[in-house]
Amino acid sequence: MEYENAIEIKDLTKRYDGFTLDHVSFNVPRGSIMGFIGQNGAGKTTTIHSILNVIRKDEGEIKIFGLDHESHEIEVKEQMAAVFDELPFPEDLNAKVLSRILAGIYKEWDDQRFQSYLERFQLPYKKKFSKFSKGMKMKLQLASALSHNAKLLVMDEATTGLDPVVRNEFLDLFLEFIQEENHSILMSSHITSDLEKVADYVTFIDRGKILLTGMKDEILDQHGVLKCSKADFAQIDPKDFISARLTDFGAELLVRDRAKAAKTYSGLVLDKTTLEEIMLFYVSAGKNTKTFSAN
Amino acid sequence: MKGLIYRELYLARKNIGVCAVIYVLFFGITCLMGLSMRYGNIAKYATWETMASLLFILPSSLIACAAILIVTSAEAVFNVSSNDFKTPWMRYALATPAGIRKLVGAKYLTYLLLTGAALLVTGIAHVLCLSICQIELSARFLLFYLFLLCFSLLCMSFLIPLTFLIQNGDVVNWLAAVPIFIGVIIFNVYAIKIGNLEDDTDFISFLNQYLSPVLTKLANGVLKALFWVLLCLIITAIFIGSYFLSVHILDRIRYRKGKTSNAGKEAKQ
Repeated sequence: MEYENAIEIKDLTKRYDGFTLDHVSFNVPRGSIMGFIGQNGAGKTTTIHSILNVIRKDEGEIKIFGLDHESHEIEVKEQMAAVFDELPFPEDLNAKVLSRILAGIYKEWDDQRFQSYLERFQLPYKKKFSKFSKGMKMKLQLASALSHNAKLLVMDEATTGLDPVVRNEFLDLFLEFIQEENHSILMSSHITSDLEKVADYVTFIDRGKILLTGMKDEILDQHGVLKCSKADFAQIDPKDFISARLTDFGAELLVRDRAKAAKTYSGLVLDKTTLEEIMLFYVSAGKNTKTFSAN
Repeated sequence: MKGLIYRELYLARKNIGVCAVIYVLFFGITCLMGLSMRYGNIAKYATWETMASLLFILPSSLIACAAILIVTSAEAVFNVSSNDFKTPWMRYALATPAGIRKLVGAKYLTYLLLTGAALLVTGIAHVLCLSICQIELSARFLLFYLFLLCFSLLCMSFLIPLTFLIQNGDVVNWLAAVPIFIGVIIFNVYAIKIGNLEDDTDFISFLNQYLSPVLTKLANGVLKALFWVLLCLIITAIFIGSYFLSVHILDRIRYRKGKTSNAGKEAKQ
């Protein structure tokens, strides 16, 4: 099966009362990790559920491994795995029983691999899930997601609520998974620092619309934070920045084109930025407040 | 599908266990009662008339055993469904290659497997108990088994799609009470009357009397058999139709907000 993008989303639209996922388009290139960032209610989960066909889209096109995700649903789902923010398995089960259940669902279920992941994560084979901690439950989900030869891992806030040690363990595993050239990951997260560590691409979504999508390094290189006094701020062309944060000491502005800003405003301090800052400034801009005060 | 059925049965194991204990107790008491009637003190001192009516209690008790097992099969399916709707299982299952048809099919097949096993166990126990107590096996009790099965299938044909429509764990748990409630009423009202019937023809007449006066004409020979065959076919068709209805309901819910996902909740935040 030849394909360039593990996931291709074009004009995905889903309407709810009071919320619309509005013509969302982005691609997850094969062999990459795509970070999917946005605040609560931005539409991350709706997008992921649409990809997984857990909810039906109203409009648009979703292709996974180059195949339509609805007409080739079973074929596509055999090769992808989903990890959610909560353990979906009944707490009455144990890993041994779960392995038997999933062996009957996935054609390529690999019990030995599952057991090796359990050993690696130090998860008991016969203990009920009700006695697992949050971290153990997420590890279990990940172990089961990686044990049926999936080529695509789709994660919805899978690292949220985990301590930094477990999160790091997860990130290492993602990097390991991605070593195979056909493997790809789409992960939504609030924890932008995690994405900064592992993601090759990032997509920002806010209020159902894609604000930004592209290579993480390019996005970080292009954007910058311009720091200036309030008097200097008044002189800056509003077209040059996305939004600004006014403090008692001056102003901080997110600029879209760092190189251009460096030339235009050579006397001002221009810093590199982070994904978190980019998200905050873009969200602020979306609220139609070009300036906002920070406490 | 295999994995889904295994999951349903595994989660229903507590229901099956409790049911097995109740059944063994009930069946044991029934057998002891039968043996006492046949060989014990009751047999020594009772008159033939008293004996005849007492001996009738025995097969009726065995039918009650069958009813317990069938109702428990239904209850097991509802309990597992209730658990499914309380956890994000449906969301996960829809993201697997299992698909909606297999997801729904597993519920129906699990119910059929449990009910089939219940009927087999009670059928064998019934024959054993009656042969130990040297009581003749009457065909009308076989018909009663069939009636129980039809009743249960009919109830489930309406209730399973309802579980997918409601998708609320707590309410679904209460749905299990519906067949139990109806079953208890039917059993209390009609069981004694059925027990007092003379033969199979009377049993059909009895059903006809309560179900429809038109059916009285079907009380003989081939027509009688045809009535049961038709009844079974109609109920089987309803049951299969119910499966497709459940698939349709679950598929339609994928278009809706906040049912199979928390998308709506997230969107409102």
